Amino acid sequence: MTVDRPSSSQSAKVAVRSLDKSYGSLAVLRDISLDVEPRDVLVLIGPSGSGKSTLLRMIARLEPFDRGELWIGNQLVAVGQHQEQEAAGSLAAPDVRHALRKEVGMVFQQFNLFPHLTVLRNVTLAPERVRKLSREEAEELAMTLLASVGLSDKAHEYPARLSGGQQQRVAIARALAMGPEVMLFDEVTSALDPELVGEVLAVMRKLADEGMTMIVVTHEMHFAQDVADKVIFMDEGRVVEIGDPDQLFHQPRQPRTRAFLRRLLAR
Amino acid sequence: MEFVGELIDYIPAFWRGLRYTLGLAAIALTLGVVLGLLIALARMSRHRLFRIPATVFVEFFRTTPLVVQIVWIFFVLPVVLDISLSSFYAGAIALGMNQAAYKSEIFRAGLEEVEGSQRMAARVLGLSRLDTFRFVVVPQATAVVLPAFMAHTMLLVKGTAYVSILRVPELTHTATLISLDSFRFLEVYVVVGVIYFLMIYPLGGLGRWLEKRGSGRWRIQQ
Repeated sequence: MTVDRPSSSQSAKVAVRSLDKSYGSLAVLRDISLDVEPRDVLVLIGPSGSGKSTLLRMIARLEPFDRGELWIGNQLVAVGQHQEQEAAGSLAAPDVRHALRKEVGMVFQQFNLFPHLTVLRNVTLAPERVRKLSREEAEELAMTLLASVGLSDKAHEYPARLSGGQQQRVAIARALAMGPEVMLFDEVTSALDPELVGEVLAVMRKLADEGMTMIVVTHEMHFAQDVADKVIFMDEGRVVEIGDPDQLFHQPRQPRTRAFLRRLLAR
Repeated sequence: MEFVGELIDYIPAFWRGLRYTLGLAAIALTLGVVLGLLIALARMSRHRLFRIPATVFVEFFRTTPLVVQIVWIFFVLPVVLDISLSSFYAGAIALGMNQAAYKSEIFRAGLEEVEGSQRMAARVLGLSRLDTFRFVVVPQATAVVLPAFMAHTMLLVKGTAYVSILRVPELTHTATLISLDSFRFLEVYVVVGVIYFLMIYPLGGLGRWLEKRGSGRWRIQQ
């Protein structure tokens, strides 16, 4: 069953509507709404604790939220815990919701590779178990993806033998192996030594060029300016400002955005 | 040295004792691993219905002597469950339950050691809970628990000696019988001690070998 999405855009790949999330009495996300069009790159910036990573986890459905809606394509895949009763009729069927998990891939700040599996096995595990590819098919796919992130020669190494940048590129390949239509990047270069940041950003740039829909939480402002189609500045759990990168970085409308960018540039 | 000659006559008896000991250990280990894993999961469950009985089980077996547990199972279990239970199986079950209580704690420590971020990574990849457990959590937890697991299994093999109290003809009870027969207490118990040593010592080496072969490949200091 499809329900009309109360959205400014009917074409959005990901839509978040009036999302609230609190941990106890601490409100971490307040009335968040956003749309990500297909093939667009949305970059989330903001001070730490502003709720950017939490929002990504909600979109990845790793954590429930209190109120609001999450749409993937034209399917309502999650509603706030407090509304599950009344929204039960408009939610997509459980199998659809589960199937749509595959459409959203995520890469984490700490890579989270499986340390006991080789690079190759890290990439093939989910395609084999979830997409039901044969071992050969999964390995072929994995080798193609590893080649695309420049790591064909590391396929049989264990993650611990790789640099942080290499591990993060494996993590990207692992997420891509599920054939997602949307990729979420949660501060994926923050844990890296400065000289390793570039190689990961290069892979992300390439993905963006290839038309992947992406939501990126990052402190890499140059990357954001170059790659983003839209930038959102968040603070204290709210969307403070949305704009295209030129406008937001060079003529921010909101004083809080200006203050944040000034602090950032001063470093 | 005349005892060496006498000893040869007792080889079949020792051999039988050894088989009983190994049988007890094998059954108890199997029971301990399977039941221990279930109890570990129950103790980690969100539901009190699982957690409380599991906790009671573990605490009961950790706070009473093994000998008492063996006797208790032998006399009580047949009455409670209305079954007949040979002394061998009563001993094996008692050892197994004791093992399960301790092994569950070892398993729990290992499972909790695997970081939540690993489960999160598995979840965004769409892996089912069972697959996550099987392919992500258990292999890593195994590496963590292996040393404690092996040490505790060594205790089990020694613990089979307590079942002699039920006159199960395992090694220790066999030794008692042979020494009563031959009046060679010292020599017989030396022989038995050596047999236990030869069984248990290699387990330590096996543990180190498994550790190296298993996690040694991927556990490199980062």
